[in-house]
Amino acid sequence: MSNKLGNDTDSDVSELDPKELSQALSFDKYAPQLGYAEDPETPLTAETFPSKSGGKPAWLNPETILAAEQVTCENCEQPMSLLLQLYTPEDQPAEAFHRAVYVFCCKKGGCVKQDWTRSFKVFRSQLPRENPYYPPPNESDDEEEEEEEFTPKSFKAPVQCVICGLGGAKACGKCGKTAYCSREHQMADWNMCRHKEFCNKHISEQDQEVIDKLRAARIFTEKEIVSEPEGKGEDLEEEESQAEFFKENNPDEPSSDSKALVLAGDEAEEDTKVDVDDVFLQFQLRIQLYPDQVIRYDRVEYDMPTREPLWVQQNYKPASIPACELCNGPRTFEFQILSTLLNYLGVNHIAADSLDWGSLFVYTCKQNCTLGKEVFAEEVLWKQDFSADGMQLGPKEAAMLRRKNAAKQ
Amino acid sequence: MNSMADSASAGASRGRGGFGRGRGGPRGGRGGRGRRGEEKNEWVPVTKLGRLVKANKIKSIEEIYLFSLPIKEYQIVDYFLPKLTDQVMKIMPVQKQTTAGQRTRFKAFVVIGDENGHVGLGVKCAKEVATAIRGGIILAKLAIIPVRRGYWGSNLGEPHTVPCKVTGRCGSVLARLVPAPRGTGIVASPTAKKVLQLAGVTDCYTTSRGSTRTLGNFVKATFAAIGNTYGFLTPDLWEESEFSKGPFQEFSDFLAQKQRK
Repeated sequence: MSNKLGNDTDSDVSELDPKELSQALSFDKYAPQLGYAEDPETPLTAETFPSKSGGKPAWLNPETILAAEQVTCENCEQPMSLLLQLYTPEDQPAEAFHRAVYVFCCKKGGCVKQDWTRSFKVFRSQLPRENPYYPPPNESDDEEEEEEEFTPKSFKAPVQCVICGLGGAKACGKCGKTAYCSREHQMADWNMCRHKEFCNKHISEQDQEVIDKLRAARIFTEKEIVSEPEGKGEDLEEEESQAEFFKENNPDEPSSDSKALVLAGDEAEEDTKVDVDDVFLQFQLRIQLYPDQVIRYDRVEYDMPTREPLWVQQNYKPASIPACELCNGPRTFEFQILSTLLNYLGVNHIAADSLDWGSLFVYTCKQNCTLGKEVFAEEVLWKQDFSADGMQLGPKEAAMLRRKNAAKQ
Repeated sequence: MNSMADSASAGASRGRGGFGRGRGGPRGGRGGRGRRGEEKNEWVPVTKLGRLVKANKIKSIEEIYLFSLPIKEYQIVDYFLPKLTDQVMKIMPVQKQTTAGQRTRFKAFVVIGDENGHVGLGVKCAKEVATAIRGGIILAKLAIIPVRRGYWGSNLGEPHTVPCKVTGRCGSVLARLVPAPRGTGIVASPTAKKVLQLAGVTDCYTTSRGSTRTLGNFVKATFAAIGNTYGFLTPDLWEESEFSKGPFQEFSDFLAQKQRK
């Protein structure tokens, strides 16, 4: 973006401005889809194929669900909570007619700070159109057409942990009726969700509500994720519509192209030494078009060129993404989770070890390879933090950056 | 047993939450999202510091300065210092030669301050003047710096001048600020005077050297000089002070206890 000419007089200012950015966006055929977190209108069950953050996972494949051993934070050895799940159907291949991506993360910020590669897990799950669990959706909108005969497969629904929704292999020793995925959740339910009082006793509706609330507080707050394609920014859209109206009514206004005089002497050759954290500024300008977005989904068309995600930092970018284990095909960037989601998760921000990230980038198999007998395929996540510099780098940091860039070239 | 819901939501429509390219993409336009309009300009913080500020966990901007935390969102500054006045020092057209003639852009120098101990300087270049000014204001807010004021003679009343002789350099320009007795006013060139006024310095003598006509360097030098007021160790700061816990450190001991193996 910035020109590295010999005596560049603008090295202390960012090269971007919001107008240029919005104009660039209007030619962007592949504008990403943005996700917003909202309170759920209807209960988010698996049949509605929801995209949501927090809460218990709504399993796409209801017969086989993940067990706690597969979704354990390797730093603290405790099961992770569902951060986000997105429903991303595909037209091709046929096995990915229904497709969901689950992102799990450890609720403890300390684990993420210590070694984040071991505190995040991403799983992909897909089902073909003809599957034993959901009726094939009608292609036409005509609801009077008879639906094809469909009987869902009858199977023993897997037991889910009452706290987190993962596979509940263990159960309460006393009553045997409440299922847990791990010892930690059993202890949490006993001590903090008052199972100690209510074990083996009759539970009234009000009590059940209280218990449900306490249990929901152990994981992230549940929100629905609504998607919309990125436009040109709320302000600019208004501006443009006003500008069009103005033009229609005043067709003779000349366009304003100011021709400035060339500068004399001293001021043209300014020596400036301060750089701006350009990458973050770009990021912020882009985000400000729609400030409450939480997801940026990039795979919007088939056969689109692979694009760079919206980085938040100059330096900490992944060198190479490992190839898909199942098909050995490449993994490409699918979507990124912004730090704005942290506002909606219900985590405590004060603590030193509270959960924090700059942006999480999820890379998945480009071809959506078939899973075969497996139900879940693991995918890759990359975390970037915001740089610890202020917006205007001091001369030392700027010199370091310049040296790094020079070394790269 | 698995029971199938009769709802048509498993049918043709993808509901509000589908992503990606399959089946026509999400329903575009405003249909998918809920309310708009009322909360249009609400600030959604991106950084952790922003979240703490929005939740009123930080009492003043001096806490942020005390721990040298980088301020990346200008709304944080707006939250603590609502009464900021900005002053555009200069709009300078700069040109770059291209094959199709010259590309002109405008460089705006904006100084912002609350006349009570906080100033910021922002420089922004853009194709249009208004955009440059707007961007300059934002960058100035991000670069806000505290100013230490002191006394010339007896410490009677409020501090009114710089605490000691401070100097700042940028390019060839050297700007020196010297304490002055009460009632002197700011003895400086119009550019430096404006910056010092926005900083809240009432009386000051100044000296400058170098090519002060290059306004960019001159303003930056004055700004650097003002910034050095808090970098100068005066005898009244000789006392050792206890380090306090930063806003990110408050409950770390408590949490350390709670963690069991």
